[in-house]
Amino acid sequence: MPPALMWSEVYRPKRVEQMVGNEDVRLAVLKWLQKWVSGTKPLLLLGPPGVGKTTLVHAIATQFGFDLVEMNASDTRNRDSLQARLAPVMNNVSLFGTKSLLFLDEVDGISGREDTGGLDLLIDMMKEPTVPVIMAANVKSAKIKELAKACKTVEFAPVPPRLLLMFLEHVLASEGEKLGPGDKVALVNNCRGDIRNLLNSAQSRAAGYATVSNADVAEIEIQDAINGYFSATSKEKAVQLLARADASFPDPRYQGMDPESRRKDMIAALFSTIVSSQAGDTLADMLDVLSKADVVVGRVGRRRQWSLLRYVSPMLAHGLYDKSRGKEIRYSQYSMPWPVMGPVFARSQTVRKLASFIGPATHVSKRTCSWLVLPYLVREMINEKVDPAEFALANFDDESVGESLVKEIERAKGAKK
Amino acid sequence: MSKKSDLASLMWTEKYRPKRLEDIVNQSDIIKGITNLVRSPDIPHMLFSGPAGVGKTTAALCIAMEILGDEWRKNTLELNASDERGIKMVRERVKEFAASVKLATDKDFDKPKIIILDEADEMTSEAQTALRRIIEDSARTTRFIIICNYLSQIIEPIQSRCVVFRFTRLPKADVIEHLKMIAAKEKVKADEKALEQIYDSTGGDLRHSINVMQAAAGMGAVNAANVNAAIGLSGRSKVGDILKLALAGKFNEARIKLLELTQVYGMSETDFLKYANQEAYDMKLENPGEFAALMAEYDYRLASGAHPEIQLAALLAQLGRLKKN
Repeated sequence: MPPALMWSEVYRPKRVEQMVGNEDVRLAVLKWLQKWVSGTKPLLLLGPPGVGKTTLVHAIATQFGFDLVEMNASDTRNRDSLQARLAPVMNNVSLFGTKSLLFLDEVDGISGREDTGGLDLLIDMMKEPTVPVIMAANVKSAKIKELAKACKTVEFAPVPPRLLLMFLEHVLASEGEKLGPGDKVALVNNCRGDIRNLLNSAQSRAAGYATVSNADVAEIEIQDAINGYFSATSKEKAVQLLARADASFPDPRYQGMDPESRRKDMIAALFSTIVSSQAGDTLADMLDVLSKADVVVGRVGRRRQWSLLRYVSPMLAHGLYDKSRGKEIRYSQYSMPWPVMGPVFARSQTVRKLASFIGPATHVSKRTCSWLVLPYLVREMINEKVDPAEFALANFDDESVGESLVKEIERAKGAKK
Repeated sequence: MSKKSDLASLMWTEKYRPKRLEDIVNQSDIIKGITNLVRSPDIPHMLFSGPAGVGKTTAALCIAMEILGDEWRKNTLELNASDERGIKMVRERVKEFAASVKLATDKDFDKPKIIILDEADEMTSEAQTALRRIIEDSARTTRFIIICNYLSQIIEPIQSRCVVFRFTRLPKADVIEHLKMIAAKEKVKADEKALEQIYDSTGGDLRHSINVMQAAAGMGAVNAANVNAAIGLSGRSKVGDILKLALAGKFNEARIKLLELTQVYGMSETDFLKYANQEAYDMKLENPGEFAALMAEYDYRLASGAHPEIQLAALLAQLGRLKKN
């Protein structure tokens, strides 16, 4: 049997008028294109995933005979590679004798770190575009604020439930599949206006991947998913629970981590859960599974090889299963209890502050200062009975340094006893 | 202000930091080479590589003083890449400093500006690429002295734009002689055996050696017992403790100490592996081959993985198992 085609691809509209929702936006985009002359500001499509940003651009290109030049987050978009790719297009060298339309998808995914100078170059090139340029992003993040200034912005809204339900009925009828009314409403409600998500869920439901209850299509809180995984009585059920967690596999080295994304970091959550439980003899085995999965996540982060992500969840779910049975493992958000972590954290703030003053004064990095200079300086201040406040003022003209020094001096005296 | 309130006279490392190139310990070939370059009409960019505490930063500071004279601080920018890695630091700080213009009436108008960029091997290769352009763009007014531990971590285009000097580990005799000189000036007694012990435990790092000697002296005398205690003050001594705990299967205790080491003492995970390996060598393990294989595996995983904390914790757990086998 050939692999089933994804409904979200099969039913991706080929023409602008076949699309669902956001009519005014579609109209605005068509008008922009109609009036386009060399130098017209680029268009920035803003909107949540799965509302049709990419579909719209593809449809326009096919319908109006544009040669679509597309770059998205999977391409490295540093200065050099952007220049190499875009310069020929911008210089109006038509590839096949047709007009070009430049589409930069996921511009909010251009990384300041990996894609060196990419944004600056884009902003520069977008001042006087010689071909129509459309960009798409999920949110107007701080990163792309400058870029957005150079663009005309149109915002997509999530597709309303009524339209989603109609579209779902249409797809189900075309596929000859039937779902109960409760299921359909649940699917529509759970997709939050994301059509791609709706079709993917509907397809897996129709194929019988999921069981009957409504809760199954919804994502599960990471905490419940992890607790469910470790207490599940069948491997099948456990694997499924983990796969449905409202979680992700970020690489903290390359993306900003707010508390919420830290909480939803699946590998970190499994780690804090496992090290906080009495895992005993299989602890090393379980950490080894996490470590290997983490290497894959690291490769995704470094090489932007998104396709590797599909291996991570199975690696974890299957790898941990046998090692974790009968261990009473319960979710824990923090890898260290606060009574232990708190003082370490507080002291690290003190030392960091001191190192930021003393490091430069002794020509070493803050790091080297923390472990190689500061401990000896504190010892010397105790030996020579140097007054911390006077020392702080004399060397750094800053009183708060003195307060931090007092803390470290007291600590060192305590440790000596 | 009492004299001891001055950082530069309180710490012997600062008090006895050489101010002239010819006073730098050992490295005489390098110093000769540098001195010739500094006195030539067209001073090139320079790149210093070598282990910690052998005089790289001191040499750079001496060069700035030699070229710029008394007002060297005004026209010297000292940056440490490990404090502010990434492109932003290079772009903003270096560019701004390199681009500021001197007035024709300034008496140092004809002198270059100097940027000392320490621990440059901590920079991402993207940041180094950006730096390369800045070096070129500012060549008319600015000279760079780039300092690193490992030359291999510096991208080729930067290496090729600089005159490279490879500093080497200081010989035992030279370090001991220098320590004796300081001890004599400070009127402290230091026995030969204790000084050798300092050298062995700091691996010839002169900064660390001087710190240890000063702390030992503060405990009464530079003897074996005090040197041991003084070595125990540095964050590095915690690495051995963590290793011992992990090998004994005390995973949680090892992890708490490791957290302290990385958070409070700011030691990088990579440095932890480096020092742990050295410590293990001194500990004379029963199965050094397996240990090395394990360390190599986790060194790789640490470099490729996304969560350093998880990688090191996994290593600690594996070490506990090593002992039982």
